[in-house]
Amino acid sequence: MPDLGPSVRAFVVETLAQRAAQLGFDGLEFDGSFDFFESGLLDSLGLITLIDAVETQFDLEMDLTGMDPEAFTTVDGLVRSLIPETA
Amino acid sequence: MPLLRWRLAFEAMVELVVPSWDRTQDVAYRVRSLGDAWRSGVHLSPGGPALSVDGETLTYRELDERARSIAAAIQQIDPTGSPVAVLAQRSLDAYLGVLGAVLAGRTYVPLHPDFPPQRSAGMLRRSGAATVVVGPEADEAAQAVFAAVDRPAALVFPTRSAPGWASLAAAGLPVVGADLPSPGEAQPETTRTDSIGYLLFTSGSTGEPKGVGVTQANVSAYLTHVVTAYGYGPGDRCSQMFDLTFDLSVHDLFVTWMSGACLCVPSKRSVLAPGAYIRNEGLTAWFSVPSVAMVMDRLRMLKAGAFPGLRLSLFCGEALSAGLAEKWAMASPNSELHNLYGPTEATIAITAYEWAPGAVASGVVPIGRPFPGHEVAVVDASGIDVGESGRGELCLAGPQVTPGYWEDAERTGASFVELPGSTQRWYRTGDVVERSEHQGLRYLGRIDDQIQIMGFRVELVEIDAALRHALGTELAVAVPYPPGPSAEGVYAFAAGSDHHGDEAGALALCRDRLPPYMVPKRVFFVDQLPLNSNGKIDRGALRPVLEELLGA
Repeated sequence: MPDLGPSVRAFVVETLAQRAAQLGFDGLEFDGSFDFFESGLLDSLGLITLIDAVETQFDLEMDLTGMDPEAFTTVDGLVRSLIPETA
Repeated sequence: MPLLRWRLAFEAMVELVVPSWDRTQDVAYRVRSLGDAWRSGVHLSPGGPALSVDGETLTYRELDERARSIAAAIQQIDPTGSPVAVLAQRSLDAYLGVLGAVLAGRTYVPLHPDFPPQRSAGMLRRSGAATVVVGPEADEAAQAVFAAVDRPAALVFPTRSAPGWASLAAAGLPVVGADLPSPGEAQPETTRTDSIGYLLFTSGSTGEPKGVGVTQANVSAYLTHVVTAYGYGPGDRCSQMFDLTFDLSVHDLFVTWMSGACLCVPSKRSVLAPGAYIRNEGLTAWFSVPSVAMVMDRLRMLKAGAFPGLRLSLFCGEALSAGLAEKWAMASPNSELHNLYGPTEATIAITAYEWAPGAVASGVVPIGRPFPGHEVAVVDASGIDVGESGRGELCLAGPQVTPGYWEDAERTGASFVELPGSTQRWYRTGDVVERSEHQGLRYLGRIDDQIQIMGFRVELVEIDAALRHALGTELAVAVPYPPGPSAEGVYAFAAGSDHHGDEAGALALCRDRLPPYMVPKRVFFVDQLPLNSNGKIDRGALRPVLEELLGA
């Protein structure tokens, strides 16, 4: 199985950057530790929409059953949660 | 049966330990104030866990000592008895602030660190609070609030030394941090049953949030019923999902503490989708808006049997769909499930419906029947009851109905009324319901432009006002999505604006005035807006337009 990590990460960052531009959030840096919830960029529904988009784009179905959002509100954390084998 | 067991425990200690405690014919025990409710827990479970927050657990005895020390500080700082604001979120400081205010005999006023500083400053000013308790997570917010408010306040820092900015914000008034008085210095609080226990602000249709003050008698009636009806007791581990600015949090804190149970506080992030939290913390009693369950479902966290430890699940704050109730029940096979309903003006919740598998085939779960001692009327525009079969506006009467809006006699007079043929004081909810013989009341919608966004009560007119200010035009309007009284968010439409096309700029200005959940998700600029026959913007006509734009 090809390593999806880098392309998922790029997709997540691009989606966040688009949303930030739409909302008028300036000066954000979308590095691995960027927390899209703490920054106010996404709320719970924004998070669902983002995860839906990743699933559709990469034809994945994620299992977040045992996951605490503490682990997936940053770019790194989300990519790790979505694709555990890249951890 | 936990209910019977704890009822006996309560009865055994009732007259021994809480002097103002009382027993009546139809309830086993009752409290007269929030302070009584706290002391009930201290006596039931002194060495047991009272609070689990930030990875730390405090026993009743430990939390009581620390809270009484905060109470003593409040009493020494401001002997006049003014309300106490609590600017903190999901930290030990937040709970010490609330309890400290309660044990000092003061009204507490929760402020939210994520709300725009101007909004919180307005609430602080209007509440008349002379003391503010600040948690470390709210330092930045506090500085912004004090920059926006024209008078200083005394400041209390429950778990740390005062930060550098404090002396500036307090401008000569006392600042208390590491040097807190000892718990023994706290004077027993004197609260009258008609004094205000907590003061909250809800979205207002004039563009200003409106205050609702809830008396000790109002909240005591609620606690007395709910602790008994749902069998809470020591050994329960109860969720704390609601932010303190949402009145359902008063249930979380004081139902838990009155029964000697443990209040379990998920972090701000865990609150998003708390499936793992429920299991890891061993929760037994759940209370949230249905939206949280919906988010968990969409993240596929509601697997069958996922939460075997829950014995009780309560939902409140917005419509609960039959399908979601079914899924939650499958995930929580050992739990009862009740759908609660109630406006802030009638204290937390005032009707309930016990859900059973198969009882509600489709649509939304009914809101059921009123709590004991309360009456409901379903009336038409002239206040006449519509009878058993009709639909109309729900009106409420009884001990949980609050005195009215904070320092606003006009609005109070409009919503708290006498009905034809009745001498009681009724609260007109603005909610449209119908009666059903077997299921009690069914919620149908609103008579006005109020909606719920993820359970938060929102006046669309207040968002309109912020939008119009941001865009410099009267031709702007907020439309909820999905349509109906329970929305996930609002979208905005605007025409003829000087700032046409500047979506990002408009939204940034909205964020300065509105709490996060009220800020529109997008602004759509259009050539013109549909008008109704009165020449007003026709919000309803924009709903299909929005659905098309969102590709629904």
